[in-house]
Amino acid sequence: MRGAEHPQAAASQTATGHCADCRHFRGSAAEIEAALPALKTLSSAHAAIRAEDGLCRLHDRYLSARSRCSGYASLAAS
Amino acid sequence: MHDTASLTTNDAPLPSSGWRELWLKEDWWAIWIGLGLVLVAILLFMAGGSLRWLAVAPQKWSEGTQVLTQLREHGLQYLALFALFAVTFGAGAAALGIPLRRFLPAFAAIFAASTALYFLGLWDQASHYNLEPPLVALGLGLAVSNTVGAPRWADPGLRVEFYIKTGIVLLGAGLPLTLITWAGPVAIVQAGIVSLVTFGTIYFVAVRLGLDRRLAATLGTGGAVCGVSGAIAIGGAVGAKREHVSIAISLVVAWAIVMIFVLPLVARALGLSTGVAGAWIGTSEFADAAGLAAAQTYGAYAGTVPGIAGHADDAVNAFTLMKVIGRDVWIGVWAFVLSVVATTRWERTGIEGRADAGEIWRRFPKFVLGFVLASALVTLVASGHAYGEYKKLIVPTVVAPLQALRTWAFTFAFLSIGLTTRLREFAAVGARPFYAFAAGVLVNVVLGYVLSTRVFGDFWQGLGH
Repeated sequence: MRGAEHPQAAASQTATGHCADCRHFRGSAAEIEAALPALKTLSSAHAAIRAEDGLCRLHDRYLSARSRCSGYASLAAS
Repeated sequence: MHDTASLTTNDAPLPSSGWRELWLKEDWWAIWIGLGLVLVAILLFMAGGSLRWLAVAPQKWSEGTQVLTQLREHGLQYLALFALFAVTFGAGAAALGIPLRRFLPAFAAIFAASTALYFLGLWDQASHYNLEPPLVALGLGLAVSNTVGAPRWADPGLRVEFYIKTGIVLLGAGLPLTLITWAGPVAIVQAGIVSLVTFGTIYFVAVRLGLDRRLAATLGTGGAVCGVSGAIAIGGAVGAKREHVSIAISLVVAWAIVMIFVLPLVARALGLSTGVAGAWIGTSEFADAAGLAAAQTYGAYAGTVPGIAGHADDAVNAFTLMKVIGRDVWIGVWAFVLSVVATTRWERTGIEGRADAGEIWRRFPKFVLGFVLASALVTLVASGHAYGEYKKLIVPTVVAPLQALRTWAFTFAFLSIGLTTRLREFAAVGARPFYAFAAGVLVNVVLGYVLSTRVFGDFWQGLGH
């Protein structure tokens, strides 16, 4: 798994839902604007172009809610 | 090839906001508000009335007592206008998750400050002292935000994009659909050339400087396509690191604000007509709100600064055609292409992206639909009238009131830009991203100038005719 940032997470997880359903994912506009404070100066987390993107706290990445990874942890299980 | 070795494949439905987007995204609220006002204006016109009473706006003045007289005579109209905006923007804000009890006081302050700025811009000495309302709003907001700080209670009302998108939808009512279809292809060609070259420059320089390809792409689209919105769209599509998205946003905002002042200043020194300057600003500014501030500033030079030819609206119209039609609407295509490249060609991140053509629609800036529909509606109403009748009947009763409402919405946005720009909150961008972005800015500004003044100069010069 070249370039994987959290192989330990990969080893311990087998469930593979989408980021949208993962407890590491933060997709609310308020949380995104808080994490990227300059965003609302000339854009907005409420914009259509954002689609359903959000922040992954596991990988510290900004990504699509449609992404998946081996570190997935179901919201339902938390 | 996706990094799926450690994944257990499942076919869970992909997340989608679907129809909920119609009330959960500000693009759609901008459409509901903007198109709703256009429809009301048309219906009132058909019933023999007008939206004019509600769309009150300051008039030229030379002494302070005249301002007081205007406020006294039209006080009720200003209150009604505030109520209209408070209800419509308040409904949108509430749907977006901003509590009404926090939005309304903040918006009341924005409205009051915007009224003062609007009046200031109509002082008969304003142009003599270079007091263009967009620049004053921006400068005042920047000064407050970066000294004493904008009060936290005002934050919920500082929705730059919400106001600017609503204003752009209203702007559509003043642009005949025939003009959009006539000038649109030229805007697409010019913007396409500049976007590709600017993206290529930033991406190439960034990669040569050793930056991550996802950061390079995020910076590239921020500079080439639609500013901060472009940066977050591509950042999400390629799965960029959070700090890289933050760096791209900071660079775009910083350069965009510099360009609000620089582009009108240089265009004025070069004596460009309003249409040509608007096209240049539309090609070389990075964000809609910033570009409209620059274009509206330049439009105000028409008739007040010797040597500046064209009509005031030409600058804003050319800017909008270039930026919105030429650049903004393509962000979904950029996102789709780059997400395919990221998942198939770039270094693995341990995250499996899902690149599909649906990305083009999901990231489409929907407010553009409202802009085109507003234009189509007014064009349809005007189609039954001769040009003379249109100027005499429809412009004063339908178009002019909607233009006044648009100016209000833009003023709210310009003030909000300054008040939300907190320089200390900008990410520490580092030298290499700065150099890469600066290289793109340089190429963009020079190429945008050449295309706007030399290659397509006659076209933009004649836009208003």
